[in-house]
Formats: sequence, C-alpha cells, structure tokens
Amino acid sequence: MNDPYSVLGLRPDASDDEVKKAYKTLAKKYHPDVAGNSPEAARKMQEINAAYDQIINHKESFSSYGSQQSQGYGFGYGYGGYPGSSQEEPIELRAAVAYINARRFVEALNALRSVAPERRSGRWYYLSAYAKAHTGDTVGALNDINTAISKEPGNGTYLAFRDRLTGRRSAYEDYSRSFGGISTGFFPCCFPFFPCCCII
Amino acid sequence: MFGYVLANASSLSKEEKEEYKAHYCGLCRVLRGNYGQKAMLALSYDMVFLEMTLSDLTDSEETKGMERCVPHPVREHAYTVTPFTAYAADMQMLLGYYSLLDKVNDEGKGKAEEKKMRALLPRLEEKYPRIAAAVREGLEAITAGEKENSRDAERMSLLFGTILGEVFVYDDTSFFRDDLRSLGCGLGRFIYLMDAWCDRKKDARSGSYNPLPEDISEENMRQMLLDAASAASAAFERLPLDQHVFILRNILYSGIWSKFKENRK
Repeated sequence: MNDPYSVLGLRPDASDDEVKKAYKTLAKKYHPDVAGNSPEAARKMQEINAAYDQIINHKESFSSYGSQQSQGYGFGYGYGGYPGSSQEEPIELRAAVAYINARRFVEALNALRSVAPERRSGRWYYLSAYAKAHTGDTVGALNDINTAISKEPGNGTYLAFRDRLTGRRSAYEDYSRSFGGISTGFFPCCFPFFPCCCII
Repeated sequence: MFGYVLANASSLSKEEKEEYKAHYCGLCRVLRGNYGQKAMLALSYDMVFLEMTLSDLTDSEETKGMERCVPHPVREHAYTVTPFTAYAADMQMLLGYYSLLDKVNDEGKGKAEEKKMRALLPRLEEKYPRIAAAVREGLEAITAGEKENSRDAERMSLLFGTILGEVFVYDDTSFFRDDLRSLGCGLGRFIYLMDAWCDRKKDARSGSYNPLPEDISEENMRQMLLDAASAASAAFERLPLDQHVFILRNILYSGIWSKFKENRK
C-alpha cells in the first residue's frame, strides 16, 4: 500500500487531528452521494479508509505486526493488529478468523461459541478476547486473554494484547485529569437541569 | 433513559455551553414535533451525546433557529437540528417504549401510556429492524437476570451495553460501525452501573432488585466504571470527530462522573 499519509495528502508528521480532518474532507468528496457510484470513487474511498485505519489504529498499538498491514483492509485494526491466519489454523477456528478479518465481530463470537468448551485452545481464547474487545466487552476480553495466557504463558501476542487492554484505563485517567478530574465541582446553577427557573 | 451522559459545564466556555444547549433544544423540538408535547418528558442528555457524535462524524448540515417553547415561553432561545436529531428522537422513543413495557409487566403501572406508545412501534420496528430486535432481546435478558436476582453486575451491564451499542450503529455498513458499537457499549455499561450505584440505597430500603453486591466499596465501583468509560473513550478517539469534539470529550472524560461524586456516601 502507498504511504497512508500521502493517500490523505498529508506530511508524515501530521497530527491525529489533521489526519481526521483530511479524512473527513476526502470521504465527503468520494462519498457515493457526491461522486456517484463509480468504481473509481469506490476504490478511492477504500484507499482512504485503509489509510485512516493504518494511521489511527497503528499508532496506538505497540506490537510489531507491521508486516500484516500490507495485507490491506481490516488488518491492524484496533488493538495492535490481528495476526493473519497462519497456515495451520485449526479448522474450527477458520470461520471465526474469516469474520474477524471482515471485521464482523458479532458473527465471529457466534462462530467461536460453536466450538465445544473442551476444545477451546489458547488461540480460541485469544480470538474470543479480540472479538469481545471490538464489541465493547472489555471485561470479557480481559478474562479471555488471561485464560489464553494461562494456557500459553510465553505467547508474546497474548501478552501484548493484554497490555493494550489494561493500558487504556490509565490513559483514560490521565486524560480525564486535564478536564479537572473525575470528581471536581460540576454544574454551576442548574445547567444540566435545563427546564428551570433561571432559563425562563 | 437515565441522563448520566452530560457535560461538566464548569469547564465549558460560554460558546460551548450555548452550542450544547442548542443541540439539546433541537432534540426537544424534534421530539415534540414528531411525537407530541408529552414526548418532551422523554428527553435526555444521553441522546444529545448520540446526536452530536453522529452529526459530527458525518459532517451533517445543521439547521439553526430561535424559538420559544412551552417550558420556556418567555426567553427566546437557539436550537440546532441535524439529520441525526430525528434519529436520536426515534431511538429515545424506542428505548422509552420498551422500558415502559418492562414497567407495566413488572409493576402493572402505565398501561394507558403503554397502549398509546405501542401505536408508534410498527413504524420504528419497520424502520430499524436490527436495532429494535437488539433492544427487545436485550431488555428481555435484563428482565430475566433481574428475576433470578443476578448479582453479576458486569454481565448485567453488558446486556444494556449491547443494546446501546446497536443504537449507536446508525448504519451497519458504516466504516466506523465497530467503533460506534464499542463506544455505545462502553457508555451503556457505564450508564447501567452508575444507575445501579445511584439507586443502591433506595433499592435496599424497598427490597428492589439491584445488581451490585451489597458491600461494594467505592474503589471497586470506580474500577468497574473506569473500565466501561475507558472502553468507550478508546473507541471514541478512533472516530474522526472535529466540530464537537471538545464538548464530547468533556462529557466522556468528566461529565459522566458527576453523579458518582454525588452518590459517594
């Protein structure tokens, strides 16, 4: 793939905010409502999406799945990238992996559930954790990744993924402090309770 | 819904407060226009967050105006309406109907209202089949959990999170659907847990259901809430937002905690 920054017309040192602005401008330009249903516009839109994905999601990952990025759309999404299917992927996990690569995480979880509990490997738990994290179930994701790690203690992918999950809390707390913390003085007067005396 | 997803006004500028209020008034206006004056009672800040997020994400056109309304007949005030205001109003009604139904089944109250609101349902279910199914099934699962007196607060909150996750996915083909679903799910978990935390004493007195362990410490509660909030914010930060991002961050990183402090003791 081309350098994602140049796809968005930016210099490599552009900030996330600039990336987001550039993405929106281009997405508008190539939106089917504006550009029509031309294959050229659709291809361009895919390129822009992939570039955005790569920049925004790659930055927050620290695992080294760089090589996976070349496989294009869908990889490297979110939590440091899903390592692409290896040749020896067990047959019962293939459907789940296909769903994850297509970013259909709800369907991936359904496919995983069909594997009998006694056949659930470390990799099964990793895939489950990955899909759960992408549907917002971080508690379930953390439980599953811990199980995966207990089954395969030395697996760097699993450990890195757990760090990603747990690292977000402290990132949240740090950022929240810049808003005066999560327990400072709140609304002056009755602001949030809008239908009140001082508004009339 | 519950109204926990609101801004911390003390760290917003005057302009930001006005902008936020205008979106709130816009939602109120559309609720009244589409569903009648009484629908105003269903208005909540949670759906203002949804509307502002989606309209920012899609760079939607804003229609601004000034109005006087029934609750504020004297002072003319600004409102802002976007294409997602009607969506947020629809979602409010969809969630409102099923929680009302729940109440009717539970306490036998509100039968007349339920009947009136039921008339709206076919249109909403036809328009949003995926979301309506998720809301219906999710609330059924929550009711089942309440019946068996589940004390697994994480599992219960995830049921509500799953509902709100679908509500945030306004378009299942959107490139950002996963991030929207995670954002909604994290917020939904947060709302459910915060609601349980705020109601815990009242529920204990009246013997009503509450998913939290009776002796839960403030720190344990904070950790659970923090996990939900950080899941939501991680997804939020991946969205290309720019117009309202400051207000939305204020809500997500600060405002949503306001009731936690009030209910500490």
